[in-house]
Amino acid sequence: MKVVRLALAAGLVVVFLPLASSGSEGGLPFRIFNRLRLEYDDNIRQEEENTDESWKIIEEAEFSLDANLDDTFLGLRYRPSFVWWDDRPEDETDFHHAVDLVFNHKFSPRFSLGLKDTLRRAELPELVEEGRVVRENNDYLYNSFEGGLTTVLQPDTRMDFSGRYLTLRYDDDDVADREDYDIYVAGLTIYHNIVPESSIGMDLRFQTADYKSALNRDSDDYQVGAAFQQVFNPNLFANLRVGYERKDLDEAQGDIQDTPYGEISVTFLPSPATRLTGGAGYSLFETDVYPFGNQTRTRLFANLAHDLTAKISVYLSGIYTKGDYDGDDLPQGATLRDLPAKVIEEIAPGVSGAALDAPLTDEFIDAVSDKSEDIYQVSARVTYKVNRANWLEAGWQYSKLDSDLREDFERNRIHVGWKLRL
Amino acid sequence: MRTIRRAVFLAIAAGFLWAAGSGAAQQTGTAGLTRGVTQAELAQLLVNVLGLARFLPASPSDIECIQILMDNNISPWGGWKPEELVRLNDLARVVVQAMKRQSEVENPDDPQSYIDFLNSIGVSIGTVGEAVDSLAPLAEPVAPHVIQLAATTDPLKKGKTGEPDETEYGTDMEFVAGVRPVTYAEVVRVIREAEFVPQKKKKKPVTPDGE
Repeated sequence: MKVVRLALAAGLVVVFLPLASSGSEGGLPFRIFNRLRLEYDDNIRQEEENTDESWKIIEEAEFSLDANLDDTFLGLRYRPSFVWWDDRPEDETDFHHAVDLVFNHKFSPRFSLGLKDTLRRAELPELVEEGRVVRENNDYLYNSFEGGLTTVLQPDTRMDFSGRYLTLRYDDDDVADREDYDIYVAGLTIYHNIVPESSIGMDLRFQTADYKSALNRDSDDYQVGAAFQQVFNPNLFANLRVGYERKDLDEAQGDIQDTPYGEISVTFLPSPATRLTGGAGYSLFETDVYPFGNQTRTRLFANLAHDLTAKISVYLSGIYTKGDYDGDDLPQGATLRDLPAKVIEEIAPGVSGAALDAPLTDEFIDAVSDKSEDIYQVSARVTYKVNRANWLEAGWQYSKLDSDLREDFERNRIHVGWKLRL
Repeated sequence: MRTIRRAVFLAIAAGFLWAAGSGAAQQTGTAGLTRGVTQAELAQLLVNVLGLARFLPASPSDIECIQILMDNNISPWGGWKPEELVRLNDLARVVVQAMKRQSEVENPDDPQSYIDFLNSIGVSIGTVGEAVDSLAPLAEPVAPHVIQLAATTDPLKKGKTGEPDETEYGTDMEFVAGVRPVTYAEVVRVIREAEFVPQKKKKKPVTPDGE
């Protein structure tokens, strides 16, 4: 926590010192937006059966401040959002905070520094059923701090050194004991332009994840690979990333997972009014399914933006995610009781009492080795620009979880909103 | 394991120092790079002033900048050509698109119309710097980043699926694809335990006021 506070304090100094000097050059470029939304949510607790629905009002402000100096850019955004739920008896309100800080500085045409901080403070209220607390108060703080140093070795060759520190902290001790983590990432990328339209690169990545849970879910992850960027024509760009990944789990049933990883994304402008982005990724990944330390994740996505007229735009997005789980990724010392209830009911029906607290046998480990999850997410949104200061919007979001590990659910959210530039 | 970890971090630290040193040394030899602004450099400037940099990793590549600009319907005549120098016609078009005022241009197919429009509203595009200074963050940034970063395999870039109450995959999806604080098992366990606790039934009130 001390590290987070120090990072925040340092961030404030970094922000306000340059702004103080830029103020004399022509004032501070402040901007304020306000967005008000009315939303209907048909499954507010993400349940499979007996779902609860509610209307909610979301009031969101956005304060932004940008300083664009000769060789330096500094951008700061603070976005508080207040949510009022019409029918959520345990807690009628949520209050979230989002802060984004971007700092870029060019020391010379060949050498630059980029810093970025993403801070989120969100609320998830406690859930009380039949007089008992089912879910504790899950307020959390998430922060991602990234830094990148770019040097142009030759006119056609660029090298990036990058680092990242992610942290997640829950307020409630019980939740924090299972889910809190610190993740450190370091990376090196060298890109070389073969021809103006094509570049090839080498990627090295190292990540270490430290969880705070009693069961050891910690891991070290290495990626070695190649990256390609191709401009097929001025309206068609593609990125490709492929390589080999190895994850060393500190104290898992099986120590090492390794796999090829791959990722592709394509941006295409079929017409002046239409933008299309699509892609896919496959790699090892962290998971929030306790107590697993890893999942093998496959993800497909597509995004379409189309301007119907100069004032009306339509956006469509979709993601499909598949997570595969392996019993070898369970920590040593894990017991049946530690597994998700859905899994216990399937692999050990009727087992109770002390048997639940015995370390997992090979039979049970094998039994959880073919578990998977499918997640579907779809979003559609239309915006109408009334004038230069007002926008109206309407949207629909659909999500579905089909899991061997957790409770399945389907959820729809529909909203209408108004955005105002003050 | 620790030895590998230390070796990697030492290598990274050494790399940073070397990059910093070589960068400083190159400051004196940059005359060869002094030239007009390329479209890639323009893209790097635009993502900052349009408030799109927060959706990209720190030190984004030129292609990443261009892609997010394309998603926001901002591109020069004939599309982005990263190595090409920026021409006045392209700059005018890009600035008008970044202001989201292309519908106000008299003849959208005529490059001169964009220049005339900017002149008419008092925006100077004599230099790239002047033009960029006239821009403000986009009010409605298109955000394929939400899914794009969520789908990446790169640990330096991967992001959360959504942010609280974002219009695409907001609040609660985060607890599915990103972090779900309490598992199904916990909920079921508590409910099961609850079955063994005798519930005190409230007596029905005798009068409407419960007296």
